[in-house]
Amino acid sequence: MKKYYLILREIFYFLTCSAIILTLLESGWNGMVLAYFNINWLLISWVFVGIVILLINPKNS
Amino acid sequence: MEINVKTIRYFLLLVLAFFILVFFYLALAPSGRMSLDYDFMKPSYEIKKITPIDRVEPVNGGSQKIIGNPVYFTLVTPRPFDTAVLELKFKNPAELPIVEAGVLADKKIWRYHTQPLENNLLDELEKNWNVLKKGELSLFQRTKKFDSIENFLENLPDKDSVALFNHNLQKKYLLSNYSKSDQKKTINHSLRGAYQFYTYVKDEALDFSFYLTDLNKNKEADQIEVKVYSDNDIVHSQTMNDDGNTNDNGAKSSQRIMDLNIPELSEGVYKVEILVNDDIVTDRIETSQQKIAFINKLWLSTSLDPIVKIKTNSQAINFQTTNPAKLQKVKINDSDLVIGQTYRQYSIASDKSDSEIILEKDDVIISGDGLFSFDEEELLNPEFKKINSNFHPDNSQINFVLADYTAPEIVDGWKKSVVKLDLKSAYKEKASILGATTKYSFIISVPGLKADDELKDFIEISGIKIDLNGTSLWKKILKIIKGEM
Repeated sequence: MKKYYLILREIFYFLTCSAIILTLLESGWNGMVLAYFNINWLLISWVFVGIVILLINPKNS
Repeated sequence: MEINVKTIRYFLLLVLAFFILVFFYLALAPSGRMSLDYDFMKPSYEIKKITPIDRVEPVNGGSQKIIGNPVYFTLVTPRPFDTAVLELKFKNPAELPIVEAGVLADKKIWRYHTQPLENNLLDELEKNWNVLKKGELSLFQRTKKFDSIENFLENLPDKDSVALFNHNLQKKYLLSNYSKSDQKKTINHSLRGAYQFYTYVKDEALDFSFYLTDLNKNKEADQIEVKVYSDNDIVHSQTMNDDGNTNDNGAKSSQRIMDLNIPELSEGVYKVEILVNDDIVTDRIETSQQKIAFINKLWLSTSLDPIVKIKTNSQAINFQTTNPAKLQKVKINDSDLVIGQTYRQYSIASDKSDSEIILEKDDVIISGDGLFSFDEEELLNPEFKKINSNFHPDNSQINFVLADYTAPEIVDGWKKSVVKLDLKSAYKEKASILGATTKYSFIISVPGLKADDELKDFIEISGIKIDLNGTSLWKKILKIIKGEM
């Protein structure tokens, strides 16, 4: 379980960084991201991965 | 198996960097080209919905019906471009005479540069008249007189027998019986917003004084710009800054005078353009010129005369008022037209080459396909007639039509037309803080199509495709290196 936790934690960091960077890019240059990619999907994935991390966190068990 | 967290982290960072680079690449469009498509099946980020909603029906099964004229859509691009090749797939079951598309060129006076998508009048003319073609230019002759377009251009017939469509033709317009006067004329009717007029100069200076007031009803700074053209070339321009009140408090400014005096102009017709927003009212115009013919539109704000008489050569004349106190009955030659509602355009067709309009009340927007003057003596008509939706070859003295027009192709039962639009001279809005996102405003115009009439006519659109062309990234870098930018 720890193995999955570590992988998912990295994915969570990746999604967090992506969401922040892509939101900043979109704010500065309108349409740069949203014209091709809906950031909502990134945020939904981020919430989902976050919940899974909380559930499988080895410290909780 | 041991998990190398750092490897995963670096890999994911690489993925993120790759996506960021892809987004930058797409936004910069380094090739200078971009192709956008709106198929009415799913929303497009770049090509926005067609508006206003009361002139369109909801999108249905991959197409949308336009029921009123005109309609607009916005194009959002990640960077500016120089040209747009617009391809429209449409149906015109009611065979409405003209369908055009264009791009907003001047927001102050809402001027669009349009190109024809379909002209059923010319398509019909092609069946019955003699046609000569050279490139995109076509010459329609009621009876064959010229054997080539070059021959026609070299021996232009009488101006009143020629009509143009989507093409400009320069012919020196001189008035043999014109003489200057030392007495100044005054137009005491106040005009709201922008307007343009033709005037004539011979052995005199072009001399105008505009008495202007700022109503301060909107928040923008109301700059006043005057441009003088000769044969479509600007010969003079001048500006006057806002009155200093950029609020919308409705505090009317004191009257300011803008003098326009250009000596030593050669004899001929000049076009004067007053570029202002609707906050600016021209209370009075004083001039030494004998001829003043307002082009296409006039917003008569207030008049000192109880009854206003206007002469026009327009054959389609429209009236509109925004003021409930100014609803009235307008007399056009021997006919009456009741303006019974505010914000609604009332139209009348005149078969006379010169008509007289008599207004009971002021504050009316008058528009048409010709020129307007407050005095018959002031009217001059340097323009060739333009083919518009009111053109009827049988009731017209037009014998020659010169047109830059290509009829639409038929593909799978849909008409497909392509027009090339210049975006360099188009009005654009920067739509991002740091980037170069640019907004353009497009129009689809179908003269005669009204949402509020009894007719069930419409134009159905099933696709908008826009191919954009601009400077490539490499050329731009080269320009920066050479110091050209």
